[in-house]
Amino acid sequence: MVDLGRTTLRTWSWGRVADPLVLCLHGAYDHGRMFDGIAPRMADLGYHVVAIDFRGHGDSGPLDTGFAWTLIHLDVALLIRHLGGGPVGFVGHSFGGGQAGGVAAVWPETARWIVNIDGLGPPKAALVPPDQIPDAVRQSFDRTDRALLSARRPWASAEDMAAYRKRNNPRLPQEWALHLARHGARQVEGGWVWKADPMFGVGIPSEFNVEMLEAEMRRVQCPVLVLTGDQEDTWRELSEEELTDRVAWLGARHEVVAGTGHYVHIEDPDATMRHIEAFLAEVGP
Amino acid sequence: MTAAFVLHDLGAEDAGAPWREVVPSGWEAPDLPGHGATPAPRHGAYDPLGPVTLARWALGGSGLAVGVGQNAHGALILAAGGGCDAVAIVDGLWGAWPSADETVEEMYATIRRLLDDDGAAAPPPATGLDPRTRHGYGVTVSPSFAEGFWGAITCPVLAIETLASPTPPAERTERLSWFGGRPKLVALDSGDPAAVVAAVEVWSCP
Repeated sequence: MVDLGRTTLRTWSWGRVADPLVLCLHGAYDHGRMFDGIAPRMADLGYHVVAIDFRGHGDSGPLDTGFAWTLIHLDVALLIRHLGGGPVGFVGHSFGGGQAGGVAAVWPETARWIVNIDGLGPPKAALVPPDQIPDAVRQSFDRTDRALLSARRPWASAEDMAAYRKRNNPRLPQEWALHLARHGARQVEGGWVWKADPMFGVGIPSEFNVEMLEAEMRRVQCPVLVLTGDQEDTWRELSEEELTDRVAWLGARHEVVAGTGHYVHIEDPDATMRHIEAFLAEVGP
Repeated sequence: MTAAFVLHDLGAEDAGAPWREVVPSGWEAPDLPGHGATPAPRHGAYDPLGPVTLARWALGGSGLAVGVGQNAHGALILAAGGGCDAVAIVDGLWGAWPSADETVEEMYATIRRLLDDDGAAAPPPATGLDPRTRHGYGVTVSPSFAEGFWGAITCPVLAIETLASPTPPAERTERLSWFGGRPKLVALDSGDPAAVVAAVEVWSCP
């Protein structure tokens, strides 16, 4: 656990501390153990690999709000400072890929390179204000009350939680669904609950639109490799045009890992590592 | 039930104290988290949802929400969600509208300042003003967003504009017209709590 002053972050590490630092940033509602497959392989390439649980996730500190996008940027920057300073390499999945880009855009000196695994942000349609603002606000109020005032539903077992994950992410291999559930849950009286803070994702209306996303992505100056799959699943939401635009805004190289969906590095770690190694051979450690 | 709930400005040195000296019976003007006697939120950061939730629970769906400065947005959120039946805001019509690029740059400048401010990253004080509150919420709003959001507010709205308001005076009338309810504009020299309370009382008791 790393104390950052206003929160604590759980970290998981592989490799030698003296080697170049790589931070692995997980997706929303996940945790650092999602990199248990590729992190040791990155360490074998000569890196000090540190996967973290974002605040509101895993064993890290709690949230009082889901308005945490830039708050998490700051956590990552403070962690980099704690670990000796940048620049570092980033491997980020989904929300974590966006976080890596955000940190690199705010503090270009912190980033050596980024591997962004299907983390190019939501589609444009999800970045417009809701049609029925009063309903959206009331839903936010209800979710806040549930998160702050209600006991969380306990699950009978990690196996049940894994089955739930499989329903939501059907392309996840069974052993990984169980791995993610086991490390993403904590035991309470009466069963198990997800570690992910229910306040994550609860927010109030404010603005973040596709023009702002473009402005953010265009500020990333380091080399970026974008890895996406080619299989439909719950989180493959971008149109081809949106995907092409966002890769261009990042100035990134884009590789498609055939036969995978959203969890590219879990579904095909060998192909993922081949692309990462080829990218690093070009851009350096 | 509380008749009115005052959300003092984020970063207000004296928190709710100057308001408590002048508000009528039945009004609440607490020190919001990270201000005065109220500790910082457990995760040590700030956004409008926390104060909005406190006001919502206190008002129980009726009464007046008063939002000052950066907490005007929160008071309007409360109104949009039916958490009050009237809302007064002080200097809450936003400033000049920046481009998307300028908005992102300002957002980034804010978190760069946070990283460089040891007090804002260190554990918050047990009481008194948390230095982190000086960096603002970082909430962004565009004109199209404001027009849609304010248009969804159908309860009466009193917009108090002071000489310190960031809103360009020439744009106040147009922005006020975006509200779906019955908006009224009042100009004051300052956001002095006694003057604000007096303006609210005149408005709500014609």
